[in-house]
Amino acid sequence: MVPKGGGERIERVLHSFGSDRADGLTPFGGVIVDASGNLFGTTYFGGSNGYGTVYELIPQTGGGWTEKILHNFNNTGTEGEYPAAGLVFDTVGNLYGTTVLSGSDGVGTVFELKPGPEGAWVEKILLYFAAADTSGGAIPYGSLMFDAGSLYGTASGGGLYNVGTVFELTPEGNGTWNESVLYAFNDDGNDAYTPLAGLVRDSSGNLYGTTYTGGSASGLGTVFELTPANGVWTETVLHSFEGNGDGGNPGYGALILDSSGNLYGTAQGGGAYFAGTVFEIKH
Amino acid sequence: MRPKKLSLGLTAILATLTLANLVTPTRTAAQQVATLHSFNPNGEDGTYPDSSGTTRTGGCLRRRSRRRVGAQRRRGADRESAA
Repeated sequence: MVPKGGGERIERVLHSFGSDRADGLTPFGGVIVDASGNLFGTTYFGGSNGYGTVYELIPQTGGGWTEKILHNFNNTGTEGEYPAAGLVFDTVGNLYGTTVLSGSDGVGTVFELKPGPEGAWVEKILLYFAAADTSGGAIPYGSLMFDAGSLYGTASGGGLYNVGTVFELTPEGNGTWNESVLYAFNDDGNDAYTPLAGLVRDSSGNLYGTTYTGGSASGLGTVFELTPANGVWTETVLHSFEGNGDGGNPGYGALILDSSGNLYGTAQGGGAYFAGTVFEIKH
Repeated sequence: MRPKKLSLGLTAILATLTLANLVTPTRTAAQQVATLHSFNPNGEDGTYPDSSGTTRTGGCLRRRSRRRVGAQRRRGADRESAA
């Protein structure tokens, strides 16, 4: 959106997906920008194999943008399929993201893309979510968060109660990454469950996120906090959506944390017109 | 011993403070929520937001929502709410 003056903005299309059979299709996640102004994102479908892409949009001198496909996902069994979330950079320019499906057990991956020689990007799967692993997560929809060398994310399914987890991936130093489940959601009628969005972290190290369902009110989702203490993470449901004025079923967008500790987010449903809300959780 | 009578003014002040204590809500999680905007499917507003937002200098929130146009649903109603 480009400023038009008078507080208005006009839309400028930078790229239309599907220009040829190799292009990505249907971008669900947002874009991130590097220091040079290049945009990076994912498409859920499309690419040379049809299972989604990671793309870069490069601004051209004199106007216009050029798309470069950095990675085509595939259904080889060891690859990820269908990236729903956007990407995150680490401090040295590597990209990280998730795929909803496939991997060795078919329930999603966490991947890394490193800049390689001659403009190529090299993919490495950091984590295969495993359906048989009752403690791990499965089917991640939310964006990852990179903080202090670790990746944090949510999985919409899997975990001890099979209704989702919050996980951390920590580099082991030998090229492998170790997954720790920080919290397993529980559909016991009170707890939050089915997180679809990513996380935000405050300066004290607490994590905040939303779940699409669960909570003590109407089961229409929650805003939750995870607080670390002595290596144990404790969950607090900050708000259970009721589906009326407050909204309901917060979806794929991560919360925003302002400098005062207030949280902002969107809910897909509920509100005065049952068409969703923008809400604030006051600190 | 006969207790001292409170003055009418002091009684009024105490009553006000007591009432204030009764009606002041306890700060609970549920009461910390404020709805900044309810999307309206009136053809002008966006509906069913499902993506991340961002902020800009000035404290305004920008969110992407879907806008239903006729039988089509398309993205792109960019709404701004003053914080």
